[in-house]
Amino acid sequence: MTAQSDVSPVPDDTSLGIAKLIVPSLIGGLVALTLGIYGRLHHPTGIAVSLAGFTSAGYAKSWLATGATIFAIVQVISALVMYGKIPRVSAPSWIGRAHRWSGRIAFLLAVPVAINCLYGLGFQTYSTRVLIHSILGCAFFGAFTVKMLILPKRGVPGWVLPVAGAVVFLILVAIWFSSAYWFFSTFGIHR
Amino acid sequence: MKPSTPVITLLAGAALGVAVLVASTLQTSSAAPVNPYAATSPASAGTTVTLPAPASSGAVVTLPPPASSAATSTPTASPSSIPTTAPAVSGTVPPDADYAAQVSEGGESGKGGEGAAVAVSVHGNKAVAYVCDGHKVGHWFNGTVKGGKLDLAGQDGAHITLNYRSAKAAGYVMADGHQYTFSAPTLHGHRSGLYESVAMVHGVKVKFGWIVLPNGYQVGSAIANPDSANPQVTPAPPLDPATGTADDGGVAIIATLISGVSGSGF
Repeated sequence: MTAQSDVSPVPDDTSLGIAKLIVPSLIGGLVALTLGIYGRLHHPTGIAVSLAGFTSAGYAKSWLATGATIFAIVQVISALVMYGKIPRVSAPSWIGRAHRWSGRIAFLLAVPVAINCLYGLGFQTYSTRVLIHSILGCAFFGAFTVKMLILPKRGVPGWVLPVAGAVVFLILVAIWFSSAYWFFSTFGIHR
Repeated sequence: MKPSTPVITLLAGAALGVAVLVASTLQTSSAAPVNPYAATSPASAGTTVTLPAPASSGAVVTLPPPASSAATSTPTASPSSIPTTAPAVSGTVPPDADYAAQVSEGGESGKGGEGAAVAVSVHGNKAVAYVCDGHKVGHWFNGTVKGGKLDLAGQDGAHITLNYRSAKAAGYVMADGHQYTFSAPTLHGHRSGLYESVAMVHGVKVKFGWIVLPNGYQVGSAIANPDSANPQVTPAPPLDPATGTADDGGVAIIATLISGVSGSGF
């Protein structure tokens, strides 16, 4: 699946492997910063493109975010299976594909939510929940970018990818609790 | 070298994001061609649209121009009774401050404004003001502080003048035939202030506005079709300042605090 690296075999040098994280981290940081600055500068319109089938943008976003979080849970489970961390479960041949596609779906579900938030509501700071949500929302896409960019790299230490994946997952779950969970518990669960 | 699949995933996500952003811009700008905030959105030009007035009045209604030029324009349908003697004219309007207070009607203190309140938020030289009575009055003002003065025109001849002196803003509001005076202290509490929300409620664009005072007093109006020549003002559902939310007949409304101090909502 991953493209062949055109670099000659890399010596097992940890510092060299860590150095490979610099560019992805910088790009990820730039992504997060761009989203945050846009959310701060653009005047929130209150409404963004509306999705059919939902009573309000809040519900549309909450359900999409819930979907993304469910696929993210699939991500963690499939990753644990791939790494052989679940006892008595051997990785089936399709687990890699399941991991990649659940990740793509989760990411693509999260994108419209983020754009809706940034365009309609913006980066806001008026309460702790809103501040945490704004920061983590931007951080998520930065962290996800980092994770995706280091994915095809050879020679990075083995712990990097699991840690990056865990960070992305934890940020997403925290975002879900600071938004969709709050929204459903404030307004009730319906479309 | 072909880009790797993770990069393709990222690019696909970015493309989707741009598509949703463009769709949002198109949808909201077509739904709100005279949105005063349009000047700040990159894809829509900040032009002033003048609509023909209802035949009965024969006047021309000028809708709010973009925020950048609002302070300089004169409302074409302004009432003839704008007071020329403003109270306590001194001091320049400071940047980054929020004011809110109940108003008195008729230019005389002591006469009640029937629960109406006014809120003014100034961030840098940008200003947002709002006056509502939770009943039939709901007017927004957007503009800039010019030469230390705030003088904003709203829709249908609504007008607000603000003078600043020693941590208080005093001024006049004209709206819907009412003439209010106010003397508003600077706000410090983080729950009090001006809240705004624009939402689609059962297919109708509604702009909600609430004013929450430090003593907990709250008043809010909802303006249906705020960008049309004939917006309808109704009472807003109660806002929960703790969560910044309201429930309008089953539709969840999330409000944003318009705060000049924090810059939130600007």
